[in-house]
Amino acid sequence: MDKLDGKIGARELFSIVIIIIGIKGADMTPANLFPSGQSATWMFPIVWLVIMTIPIWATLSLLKKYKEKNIVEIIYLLTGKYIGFIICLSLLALLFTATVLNSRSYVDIMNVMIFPTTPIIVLYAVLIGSSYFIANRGLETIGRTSWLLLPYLVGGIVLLFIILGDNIIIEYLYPITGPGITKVIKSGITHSSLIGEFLLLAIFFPNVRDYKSYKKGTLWGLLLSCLIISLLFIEYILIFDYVAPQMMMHPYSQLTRVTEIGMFITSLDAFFFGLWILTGIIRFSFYLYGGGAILGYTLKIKEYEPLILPITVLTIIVGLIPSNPSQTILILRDNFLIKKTWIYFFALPLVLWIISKIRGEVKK
Amino acid sequence: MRFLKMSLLLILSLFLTGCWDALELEEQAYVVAVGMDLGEGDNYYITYQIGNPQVGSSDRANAEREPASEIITVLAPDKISARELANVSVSRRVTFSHAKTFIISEELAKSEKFLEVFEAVTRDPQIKRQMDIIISKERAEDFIRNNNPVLETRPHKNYELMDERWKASGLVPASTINRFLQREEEDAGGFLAIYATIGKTDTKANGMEDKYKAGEVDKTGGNTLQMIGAAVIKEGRMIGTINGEENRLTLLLRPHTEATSWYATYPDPYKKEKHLTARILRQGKPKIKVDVSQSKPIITVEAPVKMQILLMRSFIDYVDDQEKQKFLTKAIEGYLNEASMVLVKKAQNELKVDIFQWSLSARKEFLTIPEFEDYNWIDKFPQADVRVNFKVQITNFGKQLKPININKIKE
Repeated sequence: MDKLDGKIGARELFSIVIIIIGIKGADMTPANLFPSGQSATWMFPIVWLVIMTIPIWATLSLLKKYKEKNIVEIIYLLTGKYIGFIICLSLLALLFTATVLNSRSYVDIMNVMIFPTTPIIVLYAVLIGSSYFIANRGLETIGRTSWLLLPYLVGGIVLLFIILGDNIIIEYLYPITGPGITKVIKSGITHSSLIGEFLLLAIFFPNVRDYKSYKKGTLWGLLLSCLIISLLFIEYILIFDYVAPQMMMHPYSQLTRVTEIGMFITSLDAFFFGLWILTGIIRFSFYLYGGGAILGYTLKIKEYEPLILPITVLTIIVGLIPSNPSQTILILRDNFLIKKTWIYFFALPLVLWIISKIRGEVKK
Repeated sequence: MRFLKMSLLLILSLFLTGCWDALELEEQAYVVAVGMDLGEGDNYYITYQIGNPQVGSSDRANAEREPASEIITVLAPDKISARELANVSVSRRVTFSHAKTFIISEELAKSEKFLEVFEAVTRDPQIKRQMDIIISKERAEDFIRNNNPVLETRPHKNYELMDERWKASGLVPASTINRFLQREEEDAGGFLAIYATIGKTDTKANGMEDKYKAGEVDKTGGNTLQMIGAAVIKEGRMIGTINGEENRLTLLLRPHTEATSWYATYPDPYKKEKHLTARILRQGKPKIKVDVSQSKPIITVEAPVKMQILLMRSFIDYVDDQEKQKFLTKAIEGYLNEASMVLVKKAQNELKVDIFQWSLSARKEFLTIPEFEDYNWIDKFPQADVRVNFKVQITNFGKQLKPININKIKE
């Protein structure tokens, strides 16, 4: 307990990034991606990384320039009181929608796969309630829990690959470019907001020990997350071929049901489900905490931690609105949250960077 | 404070009970095998074999008179709703999570309704994609009811062992729901499902150990089950069958196989009427080259096979004589090539479907999925120019070096 200064280091940040982004390979995201990516869906994360290099670099250079300031403060500083407020509010709205839709999809998966008769509100309350429990303890706890969980997560994925080694058919990856390389790139670009969390992470820049560990944590985290997503997609294709994942609601749970060790130990899905749900809880605790932080900074409230509870309750209430679970989530998430927002995540850091450049020139 | 923390932890454990979906092991009835037959109208006759967990366990004494399984058949619109209907006589909750085997009657497999069956299978979370598909010659209900394994009391173990054994021997294909759906969804090739029957139909003694279809093996005693050969399914319907030998050849020619080693007999090249028995070991994957540049695809298959000669009825000394060994290798290669070409012709002309999964290798030749779909492999395959070339390597001759000198003994 000697280092509790409320700040996190590179490794905590690194594991947070993996848990909030890397796990997208194992939620309902594949259902959004496989119809357009087919046998080349695994290339998407690479496209995202390439596309988002420029905004990531812009964000990093902004953070380096305005030391000790987070992204919300930088937005206010660069765009003024009113426009800044609107931008921050939009950021908050995006994060909140992401929290609601993603958590609802988690609840739906649990409901369909494991708890068919449990009321959704109970599942929701338990999931988000546990997340709140972690979020309430602050960023340091989230970071440390992530770091604790990370070895198990990586170990689990490796184990999944070893267990399923016998069942894979390499030929399923062909035709190698799926629907054609241009289509893959186009669709990859429109889905690149899936790694848009790098912008949200910038809220916590002052909570990270220094710029160097921030840079190290996010960049390596993004790289490894995309690798994990890519590998999971490859695994889905190798086991199910490219047609079946297009129709599956949640290929991860179907994949884990295929697992067998030897003759008598069949379906290790309970083990992988446990891992998945733990990751989910930490992921949403970060989202909740991030929501509280953005709201706090936007309204210029110093003590933003009490704001997490109302956000938690609101998440559950809004999350219960969609009645037809998977379809609504699929349509809403794909058409609105993912496809429409990539330009936002792409352009905002660039615009901010350009404004900061111009201002710098004027000051001189 | 400590008290508060502890009680909080205890309260947390309330969430671990499974809430509304709590299931007691005692209340479950585990279905081991599911059978489906055509029923009247839009319905099916659905048969469940429910395992009795007490049989074969240390708790046997408490349930001495109980049978190893309960078999019930209901007429229901689908597999899922039949689960509830089964409760008219079964007091426990019927669960599919441990079901390993899915038996479909030939009649149903040949009807248009065959694919509809799989809609329920993919949607229900309890059903695993690793379930085995068996096509039974008679009604699935009769198949399940008359399947009485002598050595295995517990039905699930019987199916489990059966699956492993037959998979290794190559007499039947490995056919799971997952693989079935892949072949049908890809829509480029056919699927081979395990073909089985209870009881003999007409036995054909042909002197070869694997040229049989289910029901043709001359066998007495034991369980009347016969599982050999495969049912060929094309575009969602069963169109024909192949025998055990043809199935083994298919496995040798496919890009992927789970079969590992099996025994097979071949005519002795020096004395045609005598047989050689060999253990076949598949050695790595066959090299499959598909040329799609012309209008007709050209498929070249080079299949490596390792062989251990275990029995030579002709008493010819192959071990000492390198020339004879070479001749033997060539002869077996020739035999395998010839038999495969007959099978390929059968697939092209009679079945008109790619049962060798060569479409998988063809996929490598295309850059995009639309190009591959335009090529229309399922229609191109019957015209394909196929060249099969086996590469046999004899690795050993069993534990005996020389054959018994039969002439000396007879003198």
